[in-house]
This record gives sequence, C-alpha cells and structure tokens, in this order.
Amino acid sequence: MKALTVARKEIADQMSSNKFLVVFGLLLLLTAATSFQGAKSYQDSMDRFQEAQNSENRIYAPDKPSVLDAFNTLTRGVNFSLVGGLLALILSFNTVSGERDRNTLKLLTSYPLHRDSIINGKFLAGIFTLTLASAASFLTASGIIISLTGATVTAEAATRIVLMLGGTVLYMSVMYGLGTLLSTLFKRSSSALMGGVLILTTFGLIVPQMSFFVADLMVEESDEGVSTPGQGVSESFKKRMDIQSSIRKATPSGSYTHFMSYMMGQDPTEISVSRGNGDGPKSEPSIGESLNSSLGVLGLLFGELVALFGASYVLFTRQEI
Amino acid sequence: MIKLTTVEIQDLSKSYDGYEAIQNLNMEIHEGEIYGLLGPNGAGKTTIFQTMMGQLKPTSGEVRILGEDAFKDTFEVSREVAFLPADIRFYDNLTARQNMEYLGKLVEEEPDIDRLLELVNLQDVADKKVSGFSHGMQKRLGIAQTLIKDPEIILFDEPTSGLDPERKEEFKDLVKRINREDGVTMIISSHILHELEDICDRIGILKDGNIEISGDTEDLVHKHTGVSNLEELYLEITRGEYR
Repeated sequence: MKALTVARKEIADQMSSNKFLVVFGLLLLLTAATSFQGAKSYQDSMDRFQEAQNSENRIYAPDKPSVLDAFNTLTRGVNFSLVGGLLALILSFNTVSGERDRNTLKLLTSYPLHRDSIINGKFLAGIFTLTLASAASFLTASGIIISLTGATVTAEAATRIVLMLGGTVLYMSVMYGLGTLLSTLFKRSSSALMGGVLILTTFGLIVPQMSFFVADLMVEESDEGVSTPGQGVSESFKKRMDIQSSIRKATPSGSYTHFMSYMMGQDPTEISVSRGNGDGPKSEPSIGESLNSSLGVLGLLFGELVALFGASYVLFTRQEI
Repeated sequence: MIKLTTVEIQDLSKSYDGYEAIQNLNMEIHEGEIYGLLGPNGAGKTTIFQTMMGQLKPTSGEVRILGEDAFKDTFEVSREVAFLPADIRFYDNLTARQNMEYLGKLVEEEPDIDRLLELVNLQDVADKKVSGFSHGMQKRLGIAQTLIKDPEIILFDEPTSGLDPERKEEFKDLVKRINREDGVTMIISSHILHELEDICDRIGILKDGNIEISGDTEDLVHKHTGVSNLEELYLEITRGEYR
C-alpha cells in the first residue's frame, strides 16, 4: 500500500512538472495537426469513392475509406515512437537519480518502507501518467477526425483503435523502464537523460539505417532487380527486406511500429509490389488475425518491459544510498 | 540500574574505492542516553549513521539496533529509528505541511503536524513551499520530521550546522526535553565540541574512522592526564598529539 502513497505523490509531481507539460503539449499539438491532415485525407478519399460510385465506369473505383486510414496518417505524422518515447524518457530519467540529486533519497529511505515500494510506486505512477497522456492524445485525434469527417466508427475500427492505444502505452512503458534503469544506474540525472536520448536516437534513427547496410552486406542484389513481371518480388529483395524487418523489430520502436501496422490491418513484412499476374488485392485481416500476427512483437515488448523493470528493481533494492 | 544496549556496533569497517572511512569501530549506546559523536569533517560520522540506517553496507562487522541487524532488517530498524541527514532536503514543490503529511503516510501514522511544526517554530510558514526555505529552516523541518514516527532512537547528523545561535539553543532545549519526557535515545554528531558538551551524557571522539576516546562527558577530562579541558583533549586527538 505504501507503493500507492509513493505513486500518488509521483503522479502529482509528474503532472505538474514543466518538462511533462512541454512534451505533452507538443504531443497534443502534433496530434491535433496530423488529425486535421488525416481527416482531410479521409475526406478526399471519401469524395473520390463517392465520385466513382456515381460515375458509370466503376472498374477503377477505389475502396471505401475506413476511419483507420485517418489514424494511419496520425500515427505516422505524430511519430509516437519518437515523441512518445521522448515523453516516457522525460518522465523517467530522474525517477531515482533525481531523488539522489535533490538529497531526498537519504530521507525517504530512512522511513519504514521497503525499497521495492519506492520503485514500484514510481513505476505505477509512470504507467498511469503515460496511459493518461496517450489516451488524451487518442481521444483528441478521434474527436477531431470524427467531428470533421462525420465518419462512422465501426465496432471493429473502435477495437483496433483501443488496441493501438494499448500498444502505445506498452511501448511507452518500455521506454519508461529504460529511463528508470538509467536513472538507477547513473548517479546523476543529466547522465541518465543523455544515455536515454542516445539510446532513443539509436533505436529510432541509427538501427533502421543500419538494417539497410546489414541487409546489403548479407544478401547481394540480384541482376533481376526488385521484381520481375509475372513472378513478383525477386528472392534476393525479399530476403533483404526480411533481414531489415528482423533487425528493426528487435528494437522497442521497431516492435511498436510493426504492432501499429498490424493493428491498421497491414502486414509490415509484406512487400507491396504488383505481381502483374492479375492477383486481386488481399482481403483485410480480422482483428484476431492481426493480433495473432503481432504476437511476436508484443512478446518482445513485454519481455523488454519485464527485463528493464526487473533490472531497475534488482539494482535499486541492492544499491547503497 | 542496568541500562539496556540499544545500539551495538562490532568491528565495523566501511571502505569506498579503497578509502577506509571506518576502521574496526566498536561502540555501544544505552537506552535513554544522549551520545555525542565528535569528530572533524571526514572522520566518518555520516558513514556511521548511514550504516546504522542500512543505507550503506558494511565492508565487515555488524551493526545491531534494538537487536536487529541494521543492514538486513532495514525495515524493522527504520520503524524505530529516525534520522536527520546532515544535508537534509525536502520536496521543493511541496509545502512544509505537505512534506510532513507525505512522510506521515509512509509510517502509516497521523502525526500532529501543527504541534511538530510549532516545536521547531515553523508554524507560520507551514503552508509555504519549502523551495523558499533557508538551509536553517530546512534543518528545523528536518528536526520536526524525526518526531513523526515516535521513534525509540534518533540519529542527528550535524543538526545545528546552518542554524543561528538562538536556534541552536532551541535545538538543545528540544533535545533535552524529548529525552527527558519520552526517554528517546539520541546520537548527535558534530565537529564543534561545545555543541555537544552541554547536552550529551557521553561523548566519543572520532578520528580517521575510529573512536579514539569515549566516556562520560564530565569524566572525560579527569580520566586523561595532561589536559585541562575537553577542548584541549579534542584538539590533541584530532591533531594526532594524543597518546
């Protein structure tokens, strides 16, 4: 129960801190801006669809757009893996080192509460605040998109949006776990923040670039290029894409991006090059199928969360104050 | 009358990165006494206190407080022992009252915060954020927080540093009163002799991580020849001239 006392204080601290308000404000601003963009894109697609429905030639009629298409623009525009990750790091980089910097850790640990209550409380507070921030962002987006387009949100689309929110909270919790570990590991908050930003940049920018390089090194480009008419994507290109995808999804941001694609009804590992052999478009997967496909990346994110939190926990409960 | 031993330190050593802060320290503190830990800066006073609170792990030796191992049974020890760290700070974004309320919740008690703040003359600034508090005011709030858990033992690490003379006297009166009325055992550290000699029943003089001399404050000088007062004895020990 003392963990809840610590959590309540932490939540109040986090919500009123300038650093949180700035990044959360930025997240909401980006959400609003890209929601307008997503709504406009949805409206344009809807206009094209209706125009095609009214015309006599329906052979090239586009598919009816889904409200999820607007969310697709949103998740790509906001770049949750970067901004969300940054928000989580900003909240967590001084969870333990901040107490040390401010000289409050000696006082806190002189009180009768187990050290695990301190770390659990701080972790609970982080997850709560991040859930609130993500939910606020998703609600803002839904509000803007629905009010501007008048789109009907089907039960399936609503479920997918809720699952995307869950995935976002899970990803942010992993980044919060990373920040907490760094905060426990480093004596100074500034070092923990620098370490966190470095890792976030590595995950978000360096690893994706590196994946191209590694794939090129491992599989030589064949003479036939990306695709051959009638045979679809070339084998070497497919292998290279598989390597790139495997490297990217090993990072939390890569796993998260894959998860979001699955929830949008897309397959991030699928290469969309026309086979030129008359195959029609694949039917959209059901929620169950999407969830099933995303089990691997979900497992990775859960594993990373448990490992990061576990390491912070073990380190903090054993270290000297 | 036989006095119970509340704190027992046996062969305690503590090293940091090869530097031995405490070396084979042996010490006993009895129930209800006020013990003064006197020593220059860097003598190991804070390390002793932090080891007693289980915040530092002994390199060797043992610290037992009320029969409990200070490092292994930290939770039980911290229920009975209150600590005022030398460099105490509070949560800047909270008021004095909110800080006290938060700490009160951690001990699952509902302390009389108004009374505690009045004891240290902070009643008029109870609802002011501690970010605006001077070092001395934070120290006084620190003294008040030691009473939240109604402790058996209080460890005061340099409690009067940063306090003006009037507040120092108030602190001495408060310590005497709490000791007399509630029988609380106290260990007070300082590097200034006259801050301890008026209030302590016994004094231990610390040098290079070990107690060179310990005894009743009144008898200390009489037992050691060649010195005329306690200050002379303290200076001889800290200068390394004592034999």
